[in-house]
Amino acid sequence: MKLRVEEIRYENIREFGDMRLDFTRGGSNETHHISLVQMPNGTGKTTTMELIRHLLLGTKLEEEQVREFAPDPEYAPEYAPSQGEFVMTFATDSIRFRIHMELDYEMGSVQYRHSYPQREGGGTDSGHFLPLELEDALTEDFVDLFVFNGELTDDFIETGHDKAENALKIVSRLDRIERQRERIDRIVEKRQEDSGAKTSQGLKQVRTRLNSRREKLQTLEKRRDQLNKDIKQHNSTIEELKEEREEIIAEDKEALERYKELEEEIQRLQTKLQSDAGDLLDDMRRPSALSADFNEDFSELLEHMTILKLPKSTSEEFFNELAEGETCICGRELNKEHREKIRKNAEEYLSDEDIGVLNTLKEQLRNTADVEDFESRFTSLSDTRQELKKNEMEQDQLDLDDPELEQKKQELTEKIESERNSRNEKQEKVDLLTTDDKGQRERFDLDWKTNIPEAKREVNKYEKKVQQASDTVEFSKQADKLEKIFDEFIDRSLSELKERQIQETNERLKQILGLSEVQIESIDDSIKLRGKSGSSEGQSLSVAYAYLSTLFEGSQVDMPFVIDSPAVSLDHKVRREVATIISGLFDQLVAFVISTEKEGFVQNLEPKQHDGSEDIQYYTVHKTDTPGVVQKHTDHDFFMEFTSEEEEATTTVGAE
Amino acid sequence: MSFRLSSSARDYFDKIEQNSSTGDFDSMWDKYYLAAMVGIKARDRIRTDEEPTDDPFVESVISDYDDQKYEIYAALIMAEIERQNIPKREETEIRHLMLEILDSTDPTRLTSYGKTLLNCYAERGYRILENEVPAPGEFDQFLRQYHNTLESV
Repeated sequence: MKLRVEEIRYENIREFGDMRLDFTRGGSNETHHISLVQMPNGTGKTTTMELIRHLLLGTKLEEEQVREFAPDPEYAPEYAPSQGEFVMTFATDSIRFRIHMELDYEMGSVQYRHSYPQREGGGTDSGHFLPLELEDALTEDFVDLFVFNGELTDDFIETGHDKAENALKIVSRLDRIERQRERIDRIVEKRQEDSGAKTSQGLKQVRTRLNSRREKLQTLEKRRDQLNKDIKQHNSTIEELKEEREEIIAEDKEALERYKELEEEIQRLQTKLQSDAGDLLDDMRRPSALSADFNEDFSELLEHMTILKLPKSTSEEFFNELAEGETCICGRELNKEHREKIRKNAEEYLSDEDIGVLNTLKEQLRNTADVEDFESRFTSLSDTRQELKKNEMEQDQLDLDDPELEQKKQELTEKIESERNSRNEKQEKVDLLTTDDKGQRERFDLDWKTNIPEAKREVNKYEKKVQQASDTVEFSKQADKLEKIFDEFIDRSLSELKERQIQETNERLKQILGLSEVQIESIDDSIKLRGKSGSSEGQSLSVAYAYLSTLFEGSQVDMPFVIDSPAVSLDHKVRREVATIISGLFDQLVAFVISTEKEGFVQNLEPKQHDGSEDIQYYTVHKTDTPGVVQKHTDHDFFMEFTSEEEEATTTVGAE
Repeated sequence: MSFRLSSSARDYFDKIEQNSSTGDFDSMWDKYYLAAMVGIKARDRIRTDEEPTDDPFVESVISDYDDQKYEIYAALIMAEIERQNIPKREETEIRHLMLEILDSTDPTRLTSYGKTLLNCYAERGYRILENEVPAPGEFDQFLRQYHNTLESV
């Protein structure tokens, strides 16, 4: 894709009231090969370069940055515009477009718009626009390569700076791959922080902890199973002992009779307890019966609802319907004002549905139950329970007439009691081992070493940790591999690119400077020249420009070269060499120069021929006697003859 | 929204049933109701953003409680009026609160918010019960201990 700059337009920026620099040939769509814009120092050269960079990148500027572009109010206090605009027109092979940079000096803000010169009816669209191929290519680093500060050219050659190598990376987009590679480390680090295990050693530790927890869980489960087995055994022993005891009791007819009587009574009392407790619960299900406090609550709520007339006996719907009619229910005619008032006040009334639910509530509160005397029923329950206990005890301790039998029975009863105690103790242990009740765990200080549900949770927790940690260790290993792939890719690509770049730049140099002239030997951060001792400063700089132009040619986008001060610090001999080479390297060259760098540079430029004449245009933009006003000339002679006194005085240029 | 009881509250009531040889609760609603009424009477509930997230035990009010559900809701409204310090004659605020809790279109006649509130009172009620009656024995004994706790809050 070929990009050309057709025009730059300023409006109320610094001292540029309204100025246009047109780089096209006589209104055609073709741009000049070389456009020279002479601007004395302080006229706006640096500002222009800065604006071009911002405009291409769509930079969001700070308030202060925006206001720096404002015209100096000292020069035109009565005018002092509050807005300015910088516009550039571009052309590619297929499209012409403009980017407008609107600067609001009062708000300190910048807005980008875009437009298409060929569009009928004109008009601008909001937002920054670049064709897709450009949008992707134009990074800040890339723009700096073709909107170029000429004074930095020699940073490319044998300085140890990495400008040359970086330029190669930027244009080939290897810089983006490098940035992706740098992200890998950050991602791995974040993952390691999250999982808590950085290395295989860390993973081993987490695994060891998991295993110790698994072992503990197994031990606890074994203990529970053993306890349950014991409990079962105790129950079976108790049953056997009871049978044995009943057989002994059976030998004493009188005692057996009593035993059976007690058994029946125990059954009856248990049934009574069950039934009474059920009845109690049934009655407790009614809040008004459950507590006097609830009854008071209901009376109070009912009272409020009555006092507050909740719900209103008339519904919102009634008034809304009323407002629809021609007349009120009293027969008077309703006008617009009446209707609005009725509708507004209707909002204070409830809907039919809301009235329904509140009325049911009210109705229920009118029919609450009286408070139940639960205390006497609980006392009765308690008495029944005492009686049950008494009977159970008597059954256990039933005396036999035969002392020998009595002795045996007592021994059996003691054994039964002992078995029961052992069983209950073990049951308590099982309860503590298996409880998932948080409150109980806190009361008995249970943790994963003593409680099965807690141990299970702990195992789950460490299983997840091991999973996370092993994922992370694996992830780190894969990330290392990926980094190596990236490094190898970057190294190989860079090496191939350098080789090609050296070859192509050298070929170009041969064409321009001749066979015996300087050549690039290698690119190692900066450019290293073969036979440097034999090359002039001008030749070295020519290499830098040749290098840049070769880069652009190899890139997807063929860019114009916009350069500021290409020859300002060079002596006349070097200027000649640079002028010669720079002319042949770029299809569009826009150079911002000052008067003192013209000599030796401008005369030696070699513009292409067009219609029999040299394709070069000359702009001079200078300050006038009126402060704050600049003037533009397009005349060649004016350009060549123009001198700025200040620059002549301050710039020292070696004489030829 | 549905009626919810936290798993620890369920465990607490389940244990009573396990320990008792003389009766048990008829339904989860019994356990929920008993816990909720303690919270309501104590005018104390957990924050609505801490509402138990355990699976709901039922979507509706079961028949055992259908006749007295409005009493439960009235008690809930009174507890909220007091918790929110709404002046007793403040018609608009009381009406607003009632309509926030009651919903004529829902089969339970409670709004989602109303159910959340009741769940929060039940959770607090269970915690009070657990604190006062940490190791309940037989079912009939628990009912007595429950009643004593209710009267004391």
